[in-house]
Amino acid sequence: MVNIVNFILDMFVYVGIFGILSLSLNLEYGFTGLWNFGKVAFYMIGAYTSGILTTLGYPVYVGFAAGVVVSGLAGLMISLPALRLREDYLGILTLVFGEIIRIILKNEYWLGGPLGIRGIPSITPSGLDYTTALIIQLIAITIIAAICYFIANRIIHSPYGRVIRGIREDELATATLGKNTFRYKASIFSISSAMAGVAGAFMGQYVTSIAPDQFMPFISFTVWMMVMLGGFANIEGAFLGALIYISFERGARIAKDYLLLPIDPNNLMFILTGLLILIFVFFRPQGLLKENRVREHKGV
Amino acid sequence: MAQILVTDNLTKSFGGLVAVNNVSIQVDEGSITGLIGPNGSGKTTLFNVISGALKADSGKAFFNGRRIDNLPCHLIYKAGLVRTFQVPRLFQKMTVLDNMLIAARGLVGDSLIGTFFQTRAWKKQEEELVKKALDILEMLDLYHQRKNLAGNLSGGQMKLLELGRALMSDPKMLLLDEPAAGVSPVVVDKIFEKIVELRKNFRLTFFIIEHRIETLFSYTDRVIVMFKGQVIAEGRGRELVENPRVIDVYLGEY
Repeated sequence: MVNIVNFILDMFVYVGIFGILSLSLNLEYGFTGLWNFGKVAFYMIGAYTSGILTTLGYPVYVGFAAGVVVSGLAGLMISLPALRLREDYLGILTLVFGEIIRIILKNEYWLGGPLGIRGIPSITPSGLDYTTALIIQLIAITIIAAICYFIANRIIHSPYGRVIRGIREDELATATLGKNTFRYKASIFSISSAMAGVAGAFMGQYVTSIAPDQFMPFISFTVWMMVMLGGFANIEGAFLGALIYISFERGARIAKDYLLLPIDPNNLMFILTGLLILIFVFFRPQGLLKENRVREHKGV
Repeated sequence: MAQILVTDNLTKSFGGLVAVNNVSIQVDEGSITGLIGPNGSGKTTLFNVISGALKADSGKAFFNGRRIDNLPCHLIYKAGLVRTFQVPRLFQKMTVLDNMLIAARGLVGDSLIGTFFQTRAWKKQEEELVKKALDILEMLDLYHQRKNLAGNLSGGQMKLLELGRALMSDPKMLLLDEPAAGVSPVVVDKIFEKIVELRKNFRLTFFIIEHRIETLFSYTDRVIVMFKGQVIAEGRGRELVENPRVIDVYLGEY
């Protein structure tokens, strides 16, 4: 008998991890209009940076901090050439960037090679029973997600958030109104990459082992689906989208054991999520929640 | 009178088409200068080159004595030269008020550091700017639309909002690309009266593309006529109307 409590706790930990990823993509695409199909790259960089450092014996918080910083810097570095491109080319470039990083990690043995890194120290003390450890992990990811949410919330409700929305609506008009659009795009790209980095670092210690093939481009597209479901330019929607997608994914995995289907039941998840996305694209292309407004002004 | 905007043999071509051909103009500080010409004569391209939206192929442009032909748009804005577009380029999915606020100069909260570490300062500044924005909206008859999305405005209101957005930025000089196109006659006069008033109160300089000759002649100090990328005439009302070249290319015989 599967322990249903553990199953649900584990699911919510993943909602937290993917919620942060989808929040960061929403900052890039939903608010700024940047097409990032390589979200997984920064997730991977965060996971590897933290994983390598903590297995070398550095404390977990150092690993997390390093994961955030290195991912953020990677985001800044790639944004310098990439953000001068038109949006479709930016999409292609970020997609390829994720694959390049994955293939490098797969081929460099000092970075783990195809087997990746095992035995990453977890944040929970050893000797705890599994359910307690899961609860601690869930609390930790909730705190991290709350910090990311706070940062995003501050950004989108400030004049800075107004400028990035302006870039999404009309970049030339924003530039003629005195905004250095490149700087805005680069900064939002770095912040979002840093958020993806912390999600990666958390995932590494949670699973305790990471390998290059965990970071297929599919992850980036999963995050896109979450943003589409939850709603573009809505930070609460980012977490809602992650919750819906992961419930669907997990639900399909359970359902397939109880259903007699004329298809390979392992494909049920793909069929259902595909159907869900199609329904959304046709009937609610803006996602479940509508865009967050900049601010409500008093007395206006 | 000092010249605030000077271009020196400015040229811009698109493939084989020379849209702006050796254009040298001067705009006096504190003046209202009109720019007319048939469709496709290069008026908007000239605006695009001056405002940094397009790079000039050759020639120079000076604003307030400072060379601006090689500057990106946002630095030209910082120098005090702000433009509007022929087809309004509004932030469609943002409210009218947000469209106005984004244009304000010297925002504390529009950098990341300001957003996170100077919260009180930008919130206070925001309140003042909201007042200012609402005053401008009131003047342009857009006050009742302040909470609507800019994309839901009518065509004329979009033109007005774009003008309002430019005014919000405390410019020294405004390049207005057909500010009154698609606007009802009453409001056209209102816009131009406002322009005259702004010029008087703040010594703003205006450079305006406009097709309504009567309007231009009653409100502008000087009109420049372009044809096929070149300046063919400039001067005041009467002399232009009687200029045979202008009659030929723009006004037509009557």
